Amino acid sequence: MANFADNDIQELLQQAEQRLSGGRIVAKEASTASTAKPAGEEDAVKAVAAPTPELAQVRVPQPKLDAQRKGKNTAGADWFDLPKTDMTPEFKRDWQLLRMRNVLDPKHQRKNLRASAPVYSQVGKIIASPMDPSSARLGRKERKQTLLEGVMVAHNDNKLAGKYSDIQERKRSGRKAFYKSVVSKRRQRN
Amino acid sequence: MAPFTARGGRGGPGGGRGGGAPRGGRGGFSGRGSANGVRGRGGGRGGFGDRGGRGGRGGPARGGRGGRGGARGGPGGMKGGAKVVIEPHRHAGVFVVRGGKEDGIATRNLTPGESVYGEKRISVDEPVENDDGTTTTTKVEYRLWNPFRSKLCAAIAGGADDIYIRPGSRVLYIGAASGTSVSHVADLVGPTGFVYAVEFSNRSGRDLIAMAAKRPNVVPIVEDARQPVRYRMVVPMVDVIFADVAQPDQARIVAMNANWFLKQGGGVLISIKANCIDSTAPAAEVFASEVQKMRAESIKPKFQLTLEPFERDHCLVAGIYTRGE
Repeated sequence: MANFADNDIQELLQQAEQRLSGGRIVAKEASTASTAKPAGEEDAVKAVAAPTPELAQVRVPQPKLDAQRKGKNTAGADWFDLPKTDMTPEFKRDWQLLRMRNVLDPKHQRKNLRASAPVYSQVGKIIASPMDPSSARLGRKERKQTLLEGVMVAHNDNKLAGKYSDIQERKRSGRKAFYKSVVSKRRQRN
Repeated sequence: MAPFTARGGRGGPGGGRGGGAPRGGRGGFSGRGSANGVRGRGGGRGGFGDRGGRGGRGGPARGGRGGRGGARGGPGGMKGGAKVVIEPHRHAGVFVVRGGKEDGIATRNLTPGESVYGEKRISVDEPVENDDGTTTTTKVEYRLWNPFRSKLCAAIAGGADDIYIRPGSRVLYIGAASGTSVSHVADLVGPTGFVYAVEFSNRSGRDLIAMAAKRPNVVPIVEDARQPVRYRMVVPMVDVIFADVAQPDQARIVAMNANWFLKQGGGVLISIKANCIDSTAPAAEVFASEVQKMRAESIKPKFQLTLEPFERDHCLVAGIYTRGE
């Protein structure tokens, strides 16, 4: 404490005062900007330079725009700048598949998805944790590059084919073709 | 906005929902308790007892995750290593995760690389173009939000009209417990928002503080929510109050906190457990009386939503605070 000279202290105090007053001005600007208009439109902010007192008092929550993403087509700050969908052929196929999930698994009914793929979306991967039970993880060979491939592996073709033949067998029994085959078998035996 | 509506179970025609905005679906969970086949109703929470020590001066405190097995975060169809599509939900800050088998709700992780209560995470490699034309990939993470463990998520999945909470909001969260839901709310409001999480129980408060230590936008307050005076120096004016205190005098607690901290026109979300208010009266009556109490405290109710099938005899009432009108 003793190291400070009097005029040093004076200078420091002055600097602090300046900083404080500067800070207050900045804060005021920020509050007008947040109440008047979402960020990005400076002209509008200037036009509403003197806001009414009640507007300045109530704070309107404003998400911050990512500087790196500014000017790019994203879902906006409300969704943390979710980027535009990368419409690869694989993604389109995946979306088709998602729309037809009900067919692949008729026991679970899900809400129908819209036909068009989402404008903003990302494709991610569930992170496997070593603490998960093995039933909650995919093995090395089960991991696939797209949703479609993943579902195709899990999907059992034979199950549907078997079901079809079962039904056909039941339906055919007792009909004309069935009777004929029985008769022909009997003739062969004789 | 439609006038106040008390909606029945889910799956109705959804009257009075503000149209227009592209809705990311209602989360679209595939029926009840479909995960793992282990989890029944209200899985992950360990039965249907009173969840002690929340908000007020409760009974025995519930430590950590509690519950018996089940609900290891995220729907069962989403296995580690599986691909999913992430798209924006109708509500700002919330995302819908679509997998080959199941859908889920997620929030963007503020602390990549860590999960709070063993929930599943989704990683996305995002190419970012630099100024000099080169691209670098950054990792973005989302955390799956389980509606069986969080009332707010149950309300979102059930088709709530408006949750008032959005990126940049300041939220006063009363009855924060171990901070599992709070962590998702913190993700939702993002780095520009704030969550003031009030929890009375010391034991849950410890977990809450541990969670808050990693998130700069969470302010843990281990105090009695009945005495807002005690934390008035910490909490500024907030945009939304979310209350999940299973206490008979819940409406009073919320009204007091709103009086101290909530801005004019701010949102109020109250999760009501009929059993905890009055275990003898029918649930619908209890909800109606609570809504009446809110009206008396100048909270204008907007909608009421049952949390079936995720919670039994629970409902979420949303309102707007109209001070002195």
